[in-house]
Amino acid sequence: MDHIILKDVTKRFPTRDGGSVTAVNNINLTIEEGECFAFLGPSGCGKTTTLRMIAGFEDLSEGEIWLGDKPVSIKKKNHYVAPEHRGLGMVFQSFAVWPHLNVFENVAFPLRVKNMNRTDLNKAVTEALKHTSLNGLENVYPSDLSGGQQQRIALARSLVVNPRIMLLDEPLSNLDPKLRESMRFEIKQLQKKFNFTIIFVTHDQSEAMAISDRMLVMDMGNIIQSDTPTTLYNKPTSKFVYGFLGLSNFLDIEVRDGKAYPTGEPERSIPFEIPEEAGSATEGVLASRPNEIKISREETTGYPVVVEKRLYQTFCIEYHVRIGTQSIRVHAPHTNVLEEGSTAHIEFKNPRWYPHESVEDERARVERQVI
Amino acid sequence: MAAIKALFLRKNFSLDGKRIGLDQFLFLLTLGILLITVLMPVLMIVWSTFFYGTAFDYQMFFRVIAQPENLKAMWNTLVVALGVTFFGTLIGLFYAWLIGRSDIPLKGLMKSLFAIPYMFPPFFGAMAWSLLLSPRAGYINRMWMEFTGTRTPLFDMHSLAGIIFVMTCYYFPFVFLQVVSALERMDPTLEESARIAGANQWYVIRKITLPLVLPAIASGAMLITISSLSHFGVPAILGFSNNIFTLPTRIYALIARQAGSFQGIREGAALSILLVVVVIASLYLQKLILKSGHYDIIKGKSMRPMLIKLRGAKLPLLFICLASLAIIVLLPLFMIFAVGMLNAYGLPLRLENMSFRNYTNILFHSKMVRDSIANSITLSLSAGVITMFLGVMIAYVVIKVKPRGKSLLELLSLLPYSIPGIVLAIGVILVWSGRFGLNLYNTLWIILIAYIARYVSFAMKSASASLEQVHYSLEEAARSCGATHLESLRDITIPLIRPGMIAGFFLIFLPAMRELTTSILLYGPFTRTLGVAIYSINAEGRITQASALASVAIMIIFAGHMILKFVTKDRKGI
Amino acid sequence: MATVEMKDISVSYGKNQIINKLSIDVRDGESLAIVGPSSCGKTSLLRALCGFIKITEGEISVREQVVSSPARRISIAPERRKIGVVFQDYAVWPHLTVLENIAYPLKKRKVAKTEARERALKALALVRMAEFGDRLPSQLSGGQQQRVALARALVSSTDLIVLDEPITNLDATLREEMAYEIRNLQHELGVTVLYITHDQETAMTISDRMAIMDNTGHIRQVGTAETVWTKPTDKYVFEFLGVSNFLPVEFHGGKMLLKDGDGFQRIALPNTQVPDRNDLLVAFRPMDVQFTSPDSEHGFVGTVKRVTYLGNQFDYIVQVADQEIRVQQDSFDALQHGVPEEGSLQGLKLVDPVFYSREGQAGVVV
Repeated sequence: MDHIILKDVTKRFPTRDGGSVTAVNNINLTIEEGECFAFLGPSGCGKTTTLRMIAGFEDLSEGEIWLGDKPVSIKKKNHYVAPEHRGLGMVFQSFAVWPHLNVFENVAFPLRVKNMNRTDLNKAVTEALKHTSLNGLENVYPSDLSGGQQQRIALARSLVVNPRIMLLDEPLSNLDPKLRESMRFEIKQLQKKFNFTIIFVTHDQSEAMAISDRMLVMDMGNIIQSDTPTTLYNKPTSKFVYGFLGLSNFLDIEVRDGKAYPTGEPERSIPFEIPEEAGSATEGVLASRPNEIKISREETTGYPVVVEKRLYQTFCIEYHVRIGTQSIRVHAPHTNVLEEGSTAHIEFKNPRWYPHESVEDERARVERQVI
Repeated sequence: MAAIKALFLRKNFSLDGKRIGLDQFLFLLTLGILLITVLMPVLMIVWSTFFYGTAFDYQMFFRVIAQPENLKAMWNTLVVALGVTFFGTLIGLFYAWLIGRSDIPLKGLMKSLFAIPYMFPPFFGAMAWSLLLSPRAGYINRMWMEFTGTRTPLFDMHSLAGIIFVMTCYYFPFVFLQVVSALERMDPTLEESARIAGANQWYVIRKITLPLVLPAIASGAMLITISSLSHFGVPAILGFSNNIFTLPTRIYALIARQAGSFQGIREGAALSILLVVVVIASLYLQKLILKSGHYDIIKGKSMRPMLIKLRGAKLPLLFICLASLAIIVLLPLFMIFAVGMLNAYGLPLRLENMSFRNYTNILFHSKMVRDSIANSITLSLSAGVITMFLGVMIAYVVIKVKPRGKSLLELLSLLPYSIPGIVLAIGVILVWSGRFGLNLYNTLWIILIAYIARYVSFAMKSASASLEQVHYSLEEAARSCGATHLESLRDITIPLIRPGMIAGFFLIFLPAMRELTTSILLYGPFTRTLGVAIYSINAEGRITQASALASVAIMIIFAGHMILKFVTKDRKGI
Repeated sequence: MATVEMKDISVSYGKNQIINKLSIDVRDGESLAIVGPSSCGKTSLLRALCGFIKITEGEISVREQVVSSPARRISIAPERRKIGVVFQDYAVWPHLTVLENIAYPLKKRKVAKTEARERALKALALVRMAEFGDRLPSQLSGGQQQRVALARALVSSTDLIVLDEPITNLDATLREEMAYEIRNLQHELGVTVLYITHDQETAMTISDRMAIMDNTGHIRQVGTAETVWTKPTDKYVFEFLGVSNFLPVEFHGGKMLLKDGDGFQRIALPNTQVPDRNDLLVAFRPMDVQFTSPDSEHGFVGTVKRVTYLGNQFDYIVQVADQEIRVQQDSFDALQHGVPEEGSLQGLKLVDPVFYSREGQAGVVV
């Protein structure tokens, strides 16, 4: 039983002026055994604080955390298990390998703490080093190794005690993009082999989608949405999640007689069916991804726009097109060349409707990121 | 037309050439000054030890070294240095860990208390502790004897143990500050990952935290060793009466006893060489230790380290901290001020025995004291200004110009750091007492030269620190905006390092105000400094007046620190 | 006409030669991006142009006046070259306000105070920082400091500015935004721009022409973004520009063969005329491979080893013979046509591949 349960978990930090700020707000979550679960969100959203509460580095202000059927933090009963007794593996963004110990001793540390006998220790360390392709580097000191290798030491160090739960706190953010990609895959392979449960904290949406079975998006201490990557990407329930998961256009629209008009455009409506949840709203936002818009010269069923700018990019041509008084981005294949200043027609392939975000919410988010 | 154009271009080229000229001029100027003020005295010490006139004479050196009194002084020096290092490191570590890693309250207050020993010269402390614990007259000892009815004092401050105690009180912050800053800069995940690996609090301290801050501990400890090896004031105040000598006080005694005769100076020079060898050996040791473990432990993500909960031990530990700080820091200060007001030394510390008579006496009725204050202010101001500018020039040459002789310049400017003040004074006497056609003995000039040599390494280090912050692109940006090399220095570089220059000035002005070690060998009848005046009034037994003058000095120094704090508070930019 | 001409210039630090006989021109009013891997010498090139370091050979002219020429003993001081520079670390002076920073070049060029103020304010408005004139740089974000540096450069020189891409500015959106802005300003003001970067995306966005530099300090290709992307002159450029696949192939009788163990696998590729050779690489981008059915007439077959969902894209690793290739697919299309499963055999079709010689730096073989 290696699932993780968070019940009504809240964390408040005291501020200098004597007040408090809520970093994590009443979170309820169950992570299943053997799952790879990603926490995604902008900086300051509370994802790392949540992870540190699970690890035992932060007290809870309210709520309970269970690892399997063992309670590790219950605020009401003042029950708290120290990090060293939670039986977790953890990898940090800063690698946190010990510079005064060589690779072997770094990896052997958790076993030395347990006073394991020498033959078993050697065997376990050798095994862990093999799985992380570090064999042969036993006597090297971390400062002589690359960032990727240092992160592998951290991985081997947490693998060596064969933990059932692995906490990964932005483990790849300090690596260069190529290495980041291959390490994602290595982590998945290790998980397949040892079948532990992973919580993976990251601010990079493609990393979260690439690695996780399920993931959640956090903002301002709240879980906004939690689901599988494909569902999250294709059916975001809020504008925030939509914008956070990929390049997006948000077109302000007005609703008149059940039809959607770009704001400030009296004549022509966009062919788009207003969803039921919009209710009787008279305005909203039409969200679209640049690569999910078809653009062409021919007048089909599309909406007429003016090409303002054409930018050649590696994977596509990017057009900035004017629609009414607003501008949106469209990605088209290299073969689809339109002149700047010309008229074209666009068709939204998978648009979504969201209500406007309130001004207060937006301001709160900005302020929080400044703190 | 083409010829005119070529001429025009040639002119530009030579303009460019002139810029190199300016840099070269600065290099030669600073090198010259350092050769005269720093290298010459050192060479002269070696020369006069081993040459009599121009004849080679090594016997004197070995004769001096083999004298039992000198051997005893050597032994005492080592005992004091090791004792102070040992206790200072222990105390420093204890406080550093409490403040850096535990949840003890009042950290801010304690940190500012720790800064106080830095401000005042240790010989004030020696005076204060002597007031409390001198064998017969010390207030505590007298109380003890009255209370118990015995005739043996509780503790004799005029002993090796007393010397070690007072110096430890003043030098433990070296280790404390180094270790606290290492702990604060350390990536907390280094300790957290050990907790996750199953290690408990104490295991983590032993296996992770301590090894990682070891370089900081070593460098703080070595700073203590080197400072206490060359320290003069405390053993001079506490040791002379019981004939306890260390090398620096022995050198002083050799020269003072022979009233500045050449033979005395030669013997002092010989002992100086011994002292310098010990200091350099310690420095070398430090380098070896630091090289073996220099870790990158700076944190990545900013995160508060997990503080260790002291729980039940919190209040007792807080009490111990505050009480010990009060004894180490506040009690000596209180004593100096209280005794300074006392009508006669030995009277009970009651208000009816107190007045401002000592102050009026020393400030209004003693020309010697007034002169000494004026001398110290003149000397400190001019040494501060001159040395600060010298330091800026050296740092500029070393960091920005990088000529071929850069490492020589750097070495020369850092050399005084490893030369004890008393040794430097002997070297300065040897160079400037007429041998090279210029006799400055008994003038303020000779003290000024010694101060410049003594403090140039401070100035150079402080100027380097601020110059290194000025990235070369800032100057280049000015060039590309149309400023010449000189204009870019005037408009950009100098304004940017101005706060650093002001801080550098105070770094020299403040210690110079209380300087004793160098001045005590160089002063003449009319060129006493404040430190010398306090020391000699105290040595004459006019203890209340010495205390009064010391409290005047404390107030001047304190005011200086306040100004420094105010000036460096709101630095612009960098 | 060229605003900047560099002819056969070389730069060394001590014995270390950074740039070796490099030539490049920046045309009047154009935006040229020099893009190369880190420490390839591109920053040295810029510093040599500005006069901060000396060249050991060759000649640099700015506005048809020689500014550096060791052979002719010419080395004009940086302040007389009239080049606006935006430094890697912005180099905004922290002790001066934003407005004082921007007015400094005018002060040095003896422009009257009121006029200088007016021009500085105008430049500030151009970079949309009008309300920040009285702030100190420490009160600005990194992006805002960069704008100040840009405004100062524009004031310093009205016809030529050079920019070194900030290394600390890791935020991709900010970089993109700045790139658009510089592009707009360049069009608006007609100023000549030389932009140094390591990021080919930014280079493509910002430039009329881009020059690809390799890590030995040589320029491999100069051209518009489109030319460089569609016709990379050699393997290095192809690989530098983005994720690439190279498969070793041979041509026999006009047929393309991919080595597979002891035998060969045929890659059918209609409308391609390549002379018979046995030392070629076929190069293609992950987006330029399409999945077809395994028994299709065109293309070749491979086994899908790994499928990764990235939101806007699916990313695959496919085993072809004894090689692995990367394939990418727009996720919207993929989800509509069905995503290939891990372990399945798939047909693959190449779109517009190019051919390079396997050895050396030889260019495109058609």
